Amino acid sequence: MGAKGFYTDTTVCIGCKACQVACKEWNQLPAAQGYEKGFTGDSYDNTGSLSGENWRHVKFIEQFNEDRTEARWLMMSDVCKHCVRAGCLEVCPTGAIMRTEFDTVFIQPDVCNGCRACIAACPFGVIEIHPERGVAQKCTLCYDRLQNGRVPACAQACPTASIQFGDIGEMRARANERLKQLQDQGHTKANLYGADETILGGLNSFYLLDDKPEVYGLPANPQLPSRHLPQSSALAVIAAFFAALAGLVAFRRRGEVATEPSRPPK
Amino acid sequence: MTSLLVTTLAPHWDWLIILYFFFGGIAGGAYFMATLLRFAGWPEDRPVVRLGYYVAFPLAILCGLLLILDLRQPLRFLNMLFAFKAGGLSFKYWSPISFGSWLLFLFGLVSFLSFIGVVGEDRRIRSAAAKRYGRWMWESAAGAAIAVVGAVLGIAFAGYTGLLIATTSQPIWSDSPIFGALFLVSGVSTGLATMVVLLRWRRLQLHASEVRLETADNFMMLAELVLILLLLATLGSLAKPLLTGIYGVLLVLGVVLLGLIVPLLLHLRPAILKASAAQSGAIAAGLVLLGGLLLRVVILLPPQALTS
Repeated sequence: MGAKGFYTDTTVCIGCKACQVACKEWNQLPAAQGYEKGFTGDSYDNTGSLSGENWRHVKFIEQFNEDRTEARWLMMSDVCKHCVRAGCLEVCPTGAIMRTEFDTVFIQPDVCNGCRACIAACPFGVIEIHPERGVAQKCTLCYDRLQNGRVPACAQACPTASIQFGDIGEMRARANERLKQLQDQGHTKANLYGADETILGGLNSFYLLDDKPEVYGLPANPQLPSRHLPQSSALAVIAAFFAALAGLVAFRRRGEVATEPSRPPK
Repeated sequence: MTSLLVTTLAPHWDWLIILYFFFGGIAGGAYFMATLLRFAGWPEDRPVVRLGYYVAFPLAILCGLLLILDLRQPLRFLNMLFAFKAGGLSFKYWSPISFGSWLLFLFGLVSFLSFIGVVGEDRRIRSAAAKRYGRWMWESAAGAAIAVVGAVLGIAFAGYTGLLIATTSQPIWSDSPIFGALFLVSGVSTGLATMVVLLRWRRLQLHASEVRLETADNFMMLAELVLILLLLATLGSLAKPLLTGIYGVLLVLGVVLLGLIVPLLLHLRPAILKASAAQSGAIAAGLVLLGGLLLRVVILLPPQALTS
């Protein structure tokens, strides 16, 4: 089975949130955390972020120049990136997070025990605990639909083909073609994010952006959580040897015995 | 043009985890130093060695309970060790939360063997078998080997918590390689301080042993000071959340001044307080414990506040 994934062309996203609604309907996710979020006052965004119950999140980025005579409104439907080298999968201690036959990253809800290591590990802020289920949750790339030969709910609902689904190779070819088209039209900042191996071995949900990744709240150079582990471990081992040495030096001291008599041990 | 900030989500490792890190450091550090004292110390240190073994096992149990309580699905805690669905063990040497779970499990087992040994040796259980077991743990080569294994597990358990937070994508935690060494040194220091507190509490007149523990703690506190400076240096401008507001006050006054510099002064110049050396030592040990707890508060909470 070849790798499947999303190609999201943010330049044609209209912020309709059909993807969010379709995701919630198919995956039976509640509307809000007890309706406590309310209005954020942040453009048209009242979801705030991806979470345990929001596996799709449409971002609205309003940009103005200083005198506000020029404006630009960027939109982007955010989702789990299904990284080829996934930090969440790397750290998960229970084996709940697995790679599927479609090369996507899936959390088994019946195995997860809610330790939240994956939340800390994800550089994109994708995973959270579902408040009712008590397990880590995120986009499954509609694993159940894929197993039955169907397109993920969000991609099917998207009215502008901003979210496209298919074989990763084909998606990348399509994205490169569109990038060239945009660049020819003068979109000099247009770029592909995660469409090659440079970001975490490649993102199986990658983006065509019209500006730098940071503008969309995406890290420019996300890393695996284990990147410091060898160095950190080596320093900790040195500290352990230092502790042993300090103990040996201190415990062999004899000088203070005479200052106050010791009671013999029992 | 304005731009959005890059964000991650916080794992909400709050007070239960802070206490777990704190007590785990004490348990591992106390067992490690008790074993070192057993082999490198003097015959009169033996009751102090026993104190280390007395404290390690109950705290390891407490650590397990804190971890389980922190899970959002506490009844599935065994999934940390066993892959019931796929079969086999759940073990990833490259994931600190995975090898840390195994460290806790194995350290709990070994510290239990030592705990029962000192209980038997102290005749707290009036049983000939317990007494024989206690003597076997102390005198036999196998008992010594168990203690060495426990010491290795203990020191690893004290330090792995720093590796755990460093192996994330969270701001600050993932930006310095110092946390493992820092938590290890702090764990050993608080383990030594706990042994001093217990020594005072049980009114054991073992001044020479107490001085040895305090001397070892002086080395650890100096190392901790250096590591805190290195941590701030490696973080650079990213250290701002640790140095400003209430967390800045806790770090500078609580951790560095009260938790490290004052105890060092009390150890080196006990007369400062116009109290006896024993009283100064007890106050210093209490301050070291306070500093150890505050260190974990200051390291764990501010980065998560940034990302929540």
